[in-house]
Amino acid sequence: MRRKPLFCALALLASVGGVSSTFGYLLEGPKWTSSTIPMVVQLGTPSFVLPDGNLDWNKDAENCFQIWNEQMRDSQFSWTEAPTSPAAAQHDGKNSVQFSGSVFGKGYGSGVLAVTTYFFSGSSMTEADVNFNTGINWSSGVVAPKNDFHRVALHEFGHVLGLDHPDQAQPPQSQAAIMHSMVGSTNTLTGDDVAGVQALYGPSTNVGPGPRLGNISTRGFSGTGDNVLIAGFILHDQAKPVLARALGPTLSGAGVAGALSDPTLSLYNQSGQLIFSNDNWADAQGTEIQQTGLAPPDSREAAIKATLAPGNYTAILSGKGGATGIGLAEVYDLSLSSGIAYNISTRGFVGTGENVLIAGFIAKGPEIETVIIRGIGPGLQGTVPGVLPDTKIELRNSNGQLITSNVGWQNDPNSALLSFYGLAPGNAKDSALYTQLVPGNYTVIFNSPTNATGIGLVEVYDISN
Amino acid sequence: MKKIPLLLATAAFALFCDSARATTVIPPTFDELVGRAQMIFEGTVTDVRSNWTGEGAERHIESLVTFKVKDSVKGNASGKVTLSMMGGTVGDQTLEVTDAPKFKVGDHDILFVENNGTQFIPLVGIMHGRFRVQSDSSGGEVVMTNEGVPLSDVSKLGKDETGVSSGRALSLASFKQVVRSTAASLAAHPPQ
Repeated sequence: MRRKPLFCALALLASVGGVSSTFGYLLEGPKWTSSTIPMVVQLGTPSFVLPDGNLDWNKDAENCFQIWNEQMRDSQFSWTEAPTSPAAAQHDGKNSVQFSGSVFGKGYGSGVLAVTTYFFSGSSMTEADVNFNTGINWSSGVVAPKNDFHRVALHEFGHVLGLDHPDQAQPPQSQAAIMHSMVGSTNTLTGDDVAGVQALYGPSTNVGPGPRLGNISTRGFSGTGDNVLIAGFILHDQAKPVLARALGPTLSGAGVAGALSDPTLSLYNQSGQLIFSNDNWADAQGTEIQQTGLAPPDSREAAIKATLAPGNYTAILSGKGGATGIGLAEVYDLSLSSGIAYNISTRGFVGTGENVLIAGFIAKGPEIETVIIRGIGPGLQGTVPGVLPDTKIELRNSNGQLITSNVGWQNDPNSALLSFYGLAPGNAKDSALYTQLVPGNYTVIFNSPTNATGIGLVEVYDISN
Repeated sequence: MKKIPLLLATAAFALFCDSARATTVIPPTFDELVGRAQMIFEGTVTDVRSNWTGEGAERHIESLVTFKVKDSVKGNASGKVTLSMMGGTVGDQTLEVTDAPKFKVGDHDILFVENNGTQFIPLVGIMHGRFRVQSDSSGGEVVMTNEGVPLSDVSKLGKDETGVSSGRALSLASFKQVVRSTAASLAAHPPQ
């Protein structure tokens, strides 16, 4: 068998060319030899709300550093923020990331989004600078597929690390990769990118479980009968410890008028069986709940800590003794390395003003979280009386800024994706939107565009998982 | 890290997106390449030399790449043309610029040049403005992209990167002919 010489030749070719024989990644040649790669981020704040939930351009870039860091063992990006002025200099010993109208005094040329320049001596990187073209109408996130800053930054920082374009290898490689010069719709690291960066810096032992929802909460009016506040969630994969809470007095302390003075919490499985209930959190599991660091602030509030098998669950928040008022139902994922909360939902009375239904969730990262958010009113007809006749959902970032909204799911620019995932609502007056978000805290405000009131259901689906 | 579902999500998203874009350079169409170029010529690299240039915050290494012009296709290239490219090696210091094509003495290329001296890489679409001339198995001269894949269909440039090299490489003569005819057409009917 005369295969060995050919195998050796291929192996030599792969090593000389910097191309993996099983992956398509291509290495630039030099790499960083220090354990940290200090970056100076001086991108500033956009004049609009970024659609992927980033609070400013600096945070956007820093999320990209975190995504790369998660994969590397021997070296890590570190970063400091600096003002946008004075502009960074070439060959100043700093690794700068900035918007600029030129590449250190030279024009970009048409169609150039960003340029990374790097100095090296021998096989060691000594400085890398990333300039984003101010002539581009930047946005960020997959809902803005053209000129997506996050995607371009992820790519450019791959260059900073020492990765080249796999499609420009000899012969060109065709694996999907953020490092492709023709990236298409890839907006996160692929296996090829990870293999490339780990060839340079070793495999990380700290890779997280990927994007997931870490916490859900819903604030709304809890009445009696069909009008109690009902929070639902679906757990995937494996048993998972969760903490459910029902808050009322804490809301009063935060200035919310008409909050429940003594909420109770009941947890049901998918067969409708009551599996746990609680009135005052310290009564039954006080120590356990305190150990989570998530004990409710007021002793009259309720909490349940439980390890739940995969399945559908319902938590009902109601006022003790039939009292009514505004309450906050929450479910925390206590084990972010196991099972995934796929979906959260809350059914409740949707009022106006303080009484709108408000859902909150935390996207854990560092990767981008893909979600579908739905606000269902007319679609509940036939299942419960007095449904909300029309719906509106607003998605807000942790600063309370409006990211996007929808009235009538068919008006969402990504409505085809709602159907693709089988999550298109049944009624045209129900609302829904598809989006991708960076890690952070988000709020969904659910109400009626005509100030109508009624029973409604707000849902957040984790599509990443 | 659970990548596959996210990839599915992004792949699904791609189904509903319009055309994909390059990460860092939006590839020009053939008409844009020809229309934007101030000078198009076939030439051979005769010299590459690098030096420090610029002052203060703009100080960097540049490479002066000199071509012996074999044929001017658009504009007035003749004799020797020197293009100023950001990047290069001086002493033990090297400055690399991502996306910049690399030149060495003996390279036989067709260059679509714009803003020489004022643009960091004075080629239309940076690496997209450089095509390589190679000999095929029959001894004829054919045209390859900067990445070294055959250029078989200029109409796919900037639109369908797979389609660009879906067939046999164009001959050098055919390529220059279509460049000339396109340049003439654009001169007669400038795009609005």
